[in-house]
Amino acid sequence: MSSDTIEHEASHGHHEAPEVVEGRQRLGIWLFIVGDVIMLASFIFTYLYLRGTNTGNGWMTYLQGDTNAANYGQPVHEKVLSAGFNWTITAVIVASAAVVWFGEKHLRAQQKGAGSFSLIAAVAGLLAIVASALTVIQLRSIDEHMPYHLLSQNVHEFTYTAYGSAEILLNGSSLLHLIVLAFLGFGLAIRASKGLVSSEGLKWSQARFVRFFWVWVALGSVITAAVTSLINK
Amino acid sequence: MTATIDLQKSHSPATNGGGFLRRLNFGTGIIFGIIGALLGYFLPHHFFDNQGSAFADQCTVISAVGWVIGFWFGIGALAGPFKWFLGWDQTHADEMYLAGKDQGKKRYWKYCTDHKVVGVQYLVLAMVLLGAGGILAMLIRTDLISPGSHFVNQQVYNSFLSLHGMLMIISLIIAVAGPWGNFVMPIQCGARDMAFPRLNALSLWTVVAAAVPLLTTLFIGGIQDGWTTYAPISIQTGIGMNTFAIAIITFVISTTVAGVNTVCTIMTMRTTGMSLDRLPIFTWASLIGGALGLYAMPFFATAMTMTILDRSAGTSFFSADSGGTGWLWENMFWLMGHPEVYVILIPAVGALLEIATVFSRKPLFSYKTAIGGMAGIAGLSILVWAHHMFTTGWAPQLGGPFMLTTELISIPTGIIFLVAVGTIWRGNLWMKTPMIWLMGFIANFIIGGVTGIYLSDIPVDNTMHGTMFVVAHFHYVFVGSVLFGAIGAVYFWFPKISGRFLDEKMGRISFWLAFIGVQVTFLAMFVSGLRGMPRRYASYQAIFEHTNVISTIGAYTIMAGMLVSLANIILSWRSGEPSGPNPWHSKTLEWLVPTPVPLENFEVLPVIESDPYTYGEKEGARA
Amino acid sequence: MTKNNSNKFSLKPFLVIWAVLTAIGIWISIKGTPWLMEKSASHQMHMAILTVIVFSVAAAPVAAGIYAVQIYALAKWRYKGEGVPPDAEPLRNNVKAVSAWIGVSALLTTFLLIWGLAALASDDNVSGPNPMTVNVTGQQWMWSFQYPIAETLLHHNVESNILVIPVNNQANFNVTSVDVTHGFWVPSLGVKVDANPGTVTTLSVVPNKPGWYDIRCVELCGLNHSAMITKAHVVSDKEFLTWLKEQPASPAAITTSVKN
Ligand SMILES: [Cu+2]
Ligand SMILES: [Cu+2]
Repeated sequence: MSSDTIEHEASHGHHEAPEVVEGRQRLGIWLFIVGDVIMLASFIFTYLYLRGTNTGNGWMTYLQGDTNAANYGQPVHEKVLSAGFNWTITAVIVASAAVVWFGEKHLRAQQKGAGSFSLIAAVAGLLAIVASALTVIQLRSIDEHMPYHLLSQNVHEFTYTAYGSAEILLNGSSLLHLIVLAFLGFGLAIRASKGLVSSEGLKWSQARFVRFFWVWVALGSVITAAVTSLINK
Repeated sequence: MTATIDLQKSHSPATNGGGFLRRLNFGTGIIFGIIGALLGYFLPHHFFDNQGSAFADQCTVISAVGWVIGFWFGIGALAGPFKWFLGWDQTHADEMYLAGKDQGKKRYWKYCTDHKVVGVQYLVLAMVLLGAGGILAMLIRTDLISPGSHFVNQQVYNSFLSLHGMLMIISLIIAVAGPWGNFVMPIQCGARDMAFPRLNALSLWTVVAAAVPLLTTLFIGGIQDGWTTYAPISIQTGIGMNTFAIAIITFVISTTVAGVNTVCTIMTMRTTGMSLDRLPIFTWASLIGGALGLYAMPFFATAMTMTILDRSAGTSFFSADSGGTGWLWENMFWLMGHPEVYVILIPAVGALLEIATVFSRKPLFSYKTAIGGMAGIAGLSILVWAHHMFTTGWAPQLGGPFMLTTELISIPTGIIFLVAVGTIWRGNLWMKTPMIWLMGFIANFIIGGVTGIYLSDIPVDNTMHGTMFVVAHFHYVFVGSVLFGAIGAVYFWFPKISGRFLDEKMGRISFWLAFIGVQVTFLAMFVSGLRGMPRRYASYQAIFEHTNVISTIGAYTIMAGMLVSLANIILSWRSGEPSGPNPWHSKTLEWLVPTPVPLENFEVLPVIESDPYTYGEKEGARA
Repeated sequence: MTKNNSNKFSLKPFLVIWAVLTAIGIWISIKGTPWLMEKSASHQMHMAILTVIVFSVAAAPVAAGIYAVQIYALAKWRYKGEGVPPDAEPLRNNVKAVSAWIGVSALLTTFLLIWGLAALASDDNVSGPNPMTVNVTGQQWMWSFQYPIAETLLHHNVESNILVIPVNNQANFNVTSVDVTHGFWVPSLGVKVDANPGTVTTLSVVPNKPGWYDIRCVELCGLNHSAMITKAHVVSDKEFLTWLKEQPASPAAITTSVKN
């Protein structure tokens, strides 16, 4: 590739074809999803590792540190988070993903205008908000049932069991994802209402890529719910 | 900063008008970052119960997060998502402004999307961080000059040690992939910029956002747990651990963004005819390193998140009292930690192989084997993490399998040597400074590699683990090999960014100081380790005195060599000998565009008909 | 561009450099290693030293080969003219050389692995007469050793801050920590394992030479990590029993070490 092999290619201007840009963005989204998959894998690994190791039998029962000396060293409490509630949250997330997925597909097939997509995106965003609220309730339920008082009399000092800790990690990560989904949903809604998501050219592709991510979050939520409800005690 | 790419120097600076966003720069980033940090520190006083023992931790965590978000806001990183959300899409003029059009040198202080600006910013940032880590190394070695020296107290010593480690890891991750993966790689592909220019700026400024809390650690009591921050001591140590952890999570965001961008650029932005089997080897190395980073770094973020939660939210991931275990940290850390070694090494190898072909005036030897070697290293590196845990007591039955995977890595690593040696073989060796650093790399990497084999063997590791032998081993890899590669790359590509040569004589002086310094420091350190000196000892028994004194003298020598190169870079950037666009008569694309490289690189995109290694071949002989 | 085909390779001088470097490498491996490494007082340490020697001897010709090419190249192939050197004779690939290189490195790796697994097995199967358990507890920043055997023999607990074990008998260590992770290491015995809070890790060793040896902490454990050093005393059976009897009764075993 010496200098004379660089040939001038007249047809190639500074502006790239939409499909080229779209392909690049699609790969970008997929790579971010890969990063996120590894993140979730590390959370699930943590959950299963702590369950498997069960150091000092402390996965769910807290052995030490009850302020009542008579209970010292006795299993104090056992508590599994409600699997039903867990699956409810997951169902809401899956529903939001379904709205985005089928809504987008349907509209694209019909080549309809941007107005109706605005509604779809807003509904999906709203479902993400609902799921976030439910996740906060779930996190608070860990807070109410999981902590055990430490040796000190200070009621502010508590520690979660390994199970409670792993649940906090998984639910916390899920909450962050849902906030991102809500941001994306409402962003698409606003953009669609301004005519920035339409069937022509590139403008539609953002909606499609958001859809990939949305479906991945729903899938991750199903995996998490399955692992935590099948393997806990 | 004294960059000389002034092509876009304009008659009327475009900074006037254009509103708030166009006024943002590094300075406003710092200001908003500090505001964010202060808000983060004081707001919790209203929301949390300040009776808890974790309150100080909660405040520092939120403060560090406040810094990062404030800095992002102040530099302009959040403008893109914000505008997207509201449907205020950027105009072409906005994009050109972000790319630094008509802003002269000011664009180096801004959220600039031009990959060449980002490359230069990365170069300076890497040098700053290497400098900070190097100063800490000198302080550590000074403290170790005699057995009971108390140049600094043990708490400060441990903080220096931990910060030195982490600063060097971060700066070496960006030392080659940052400057050259951004400046050179897109041009090598025949692209006008990276795939996602704004994410490119984000990755650079996010490293800055991470560096500040990392350095802050030193001033709020430091940490006592080494760069590996093993649990549970990481839970016990002072509040510096919080800023340290937030810094790491922030850095992981940067590497992830950079990894996506690199892979995407190479996979989708290549010009016509630039098939994967014609891709320059450095671009291949960037691709493999970027992909590996994308796999490895999320584990680090997860691990640090758990550390923060354990410290400030009452969880027990690592606390054996309520079901946690430090082995969880160790697994998570090394799942990241070993691949990360190759995230550091592979781009440096790629750069050195480019140097090998240009300065031997020969094609790269066995191009496909070279790619296979790097890919093999990357693939195996994700299966070897527990070789760092042979003596922790975790899963002794897995020792054999991990010994197998680790020793298998010596096969693809051997391929790297074969390719380097095969390229040099019967070449017309043009012994300019980049080539000298390559020779130094080969000599040092042999020692680094062979000593790694001892450590992969469990019966030997049972005595070597945790000793100065290990420290000497990975310094032969990181200093003797990667840093030599990084500096060789600077000597090689500096004419492209500045239009000037680095001074040859200073380059040679720098090399010999560094090369001799590395042998003196780390050969003596091998002996300290063989004799039984554990690593991370602030004071040591008298039997280790001689070798430690020698190591300290050697370390000063390395530093002297580095300072000569630093002076060389500063002086040559201002007044080095002009180089022209292609001083080394190389055939990769970055040398075939003008210097300084214009915005968007190519007037017309080139069409590629062969790989860039046609030295001594008839043009077009190999299609 | 003009071709420059003048760069020749002559085998003889290269072989001489290689042979000399290899010989130096092997000499250092055999003579230097035992001198540099801690003196051995157990099978494990013996195996470690032997392995370092064997690996060094195996690595010597490889490293010497690379260095020989570098030296030869710098002496013979260096371009001494002005300006850019002309292109050299291109060499794109050499399937035989690549296959041979990969084949040899695969063979060497196989050898390393087989050697390593055999050495590991011999380390793991260490056994000696009169196995005795010692509970090792690390805490910031000291070691303590408890002797359950004292409860059988003397009906009280014995706890000490130095390790005393009888020579040529098997010592089994149960290692744990009460605070953070420490690393229990007796260099001369070639054994090392982390002391993890809440978990017991184990080691077995048969010391084969009486004497005083160092014990060092090898996992960074905070402020006084470098001062977490104590001694191991390997003595005869008789001396051990005498020593044990001289020890005062200690109140109770530290509970964490038996938590699992
Ligand atoms: Cu490793
Ligand atoms: Cu210790």
